[in-house]
Amino acid sequence: MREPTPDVNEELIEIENLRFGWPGAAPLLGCDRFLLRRGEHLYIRGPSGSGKSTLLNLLAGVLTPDSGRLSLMQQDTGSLAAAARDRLRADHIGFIFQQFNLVPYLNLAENVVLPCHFSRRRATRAAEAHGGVTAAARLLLQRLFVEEELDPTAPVSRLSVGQQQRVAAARALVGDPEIVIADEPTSALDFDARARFIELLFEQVQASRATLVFVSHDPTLAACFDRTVDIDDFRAETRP
Amino acid sequence: MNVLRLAWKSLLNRRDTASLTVLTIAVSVALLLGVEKVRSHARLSFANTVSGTDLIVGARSGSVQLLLYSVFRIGNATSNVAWSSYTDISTWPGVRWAIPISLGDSHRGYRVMGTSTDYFEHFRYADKRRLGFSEGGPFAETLDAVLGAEVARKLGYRLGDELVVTHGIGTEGFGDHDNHPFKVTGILAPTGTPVDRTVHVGLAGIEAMHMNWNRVETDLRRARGQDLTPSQITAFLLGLDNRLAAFKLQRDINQYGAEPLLAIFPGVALQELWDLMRVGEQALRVVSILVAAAALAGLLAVSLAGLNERRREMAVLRSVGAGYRHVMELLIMESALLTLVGIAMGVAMQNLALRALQPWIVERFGLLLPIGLPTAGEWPLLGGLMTAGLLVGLVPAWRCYRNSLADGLSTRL
Ligand SMILES: Nc1ncnc2c1ncn2[C@@H]1O[C@H](COP(=O)(O)OP(=O)(O)O)[C@@H](O)[C@H]1O
Ligand SMILES: [Mg+2]
Repeated sequence: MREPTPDVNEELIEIENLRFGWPGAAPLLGCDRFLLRRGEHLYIRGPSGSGKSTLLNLLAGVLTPDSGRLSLMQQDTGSLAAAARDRLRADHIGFIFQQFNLVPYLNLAENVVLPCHFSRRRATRAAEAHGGVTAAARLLLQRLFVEEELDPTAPVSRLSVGQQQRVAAARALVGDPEIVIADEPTSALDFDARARFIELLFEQVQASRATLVFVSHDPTLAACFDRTVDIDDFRAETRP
Repeated sequence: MNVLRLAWKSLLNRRDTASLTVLTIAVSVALLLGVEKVRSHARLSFANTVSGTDLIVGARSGSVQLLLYSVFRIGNATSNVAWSSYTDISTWPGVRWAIPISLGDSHRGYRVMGTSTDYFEHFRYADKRRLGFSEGGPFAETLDAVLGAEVARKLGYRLGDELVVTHGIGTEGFGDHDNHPFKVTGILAPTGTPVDRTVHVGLAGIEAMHMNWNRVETDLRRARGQDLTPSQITAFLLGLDNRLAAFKLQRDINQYGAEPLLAIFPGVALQELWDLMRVGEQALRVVSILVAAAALAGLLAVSLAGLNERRREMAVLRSVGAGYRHVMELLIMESALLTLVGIAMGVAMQNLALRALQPWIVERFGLLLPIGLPTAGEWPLLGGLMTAGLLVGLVPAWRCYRNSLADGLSTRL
């Protein structure tokens, strides 16, 4: 059964008076109010060590605020049990890391379908749209590797970093999660690969009508996004 | 793909360390099972050496010593029993049968035992089994001999062959004369007991040999009515009408007036003897359990060492929706799989080794160790090992849980 067509203004992530600090360290993040709506392409810019990855951990429900509220899919993560947050993440979020995204002992297609093993919702969506999770994975791989012939059953160990990032993108998109979070996915790539990756990622994010949260320290990428914020807006010490 | 398949693939990916770990577990399992098998079967075959005999009587010495020389043919009697005592006691009320035993001679390393044909009638081993002949029958003439299965097989004797008995014990004794050879009239079926390694002759045969008579002489003298009754024997076995009378009879024999005698219950003496060997048995067991513990420590070391390299992998799994539970399950499953495969391989290894060594073990120790799946007594051992493997898996699982709790998805390496 298809979900009802989502409201464009639907709030996927909502933050109120959030404070967070790593144990034993000074408060790192603080944000009074923030909204992420469906379909937005958000770019968060900030230098290395400024807390971007920490913020994404909070958005993904891996970490919970020390105080304040962070709602993910209209659910307050702070009041959910760890297992419920894991399920929320599995169902609604695709994640791309800077590098080392792939599980070394799984082949390409297996890596891509991985989220479907932890989320029935995404497995069902992939199966409904493409006839099966593996078919969905293959299609995504085809779209992300338009110029290359790629064997989906090949091991991932021989892929270049650029190829690995594209496989990770396919994995983040499989089963159409509402939110795709990318944590500096291009910083390990050279200039050409970077441009190509961004282009392909946007294509597929648009095709699946996902919401994109993209962090990087590279200011040249900001132009591609319809909304740009600075990590300073989320930093504790810039709050009064 | 469930967590089990994930664990399997992850192990295949690290097949070098994984197979080494499996190998150490397998070796320890094989050792553990081997020791256990030898232990239980040694004990069984030990208990099987004598059954159905109610009392063993010999000159006064230790009960274990009496058991050793009368049943196991190990060691020697320090003194003998007068023939008159034997004939007297064997007529006591309640005594159903009495078997005299005369030891002290040998044939090419095998003990020679003088006895009566009652031995083949009444002696029982294992589960009250009586001696069977694979060829021929009991001795009839003075210089006839009945061979245990191993004696015949090892020395290649057939019915009708002649053999020379050495006075004293050892392969080459003095008084080794060709002029009083014994003739093989029977070969016993294998029993898995010291009977297999014994040459049985009549008491009269022992006498004749000690007098250095040859076959012709013996026949002549017997015909003349010359007496070949021994003056003393080494020990005798008693079967009673009623086992309840055994205690009274034991007391009476121990207080026998004519000479100091000792009567023992074979079961009690066997237990005593087994208790003496228990230290060795336990030591063996402790060693094999230590080997198993070392294998598990290896398993723990390998999984803990791998954990740091796998932080990234765990973060990836967490990012695609795996919970702490999945990640912990994965690690426990890996330990479980390694242990399980190790156990299966160990059982196979143990069987292969046994298949190769079995003829030698039977030959050397008379132990027929069974080949095949673990027995009921061995399953708890394997189950214990499996549980230990699972528990070992808990350690890296817990460490990993702590790690991913502290790391979030942003592993700082
Ligand atoms: N797992 C962690 N445990 C403790 N401190 C952390 C952890 N991850 C990051 N930090 C700290 O939080 C701060 C921000 O780090 P991070 O969010 O990774 O920044 P960025 O992604 O912008 O480079 C740093 O000072 C870092 O040391
Ligand atoms: Mg970062």
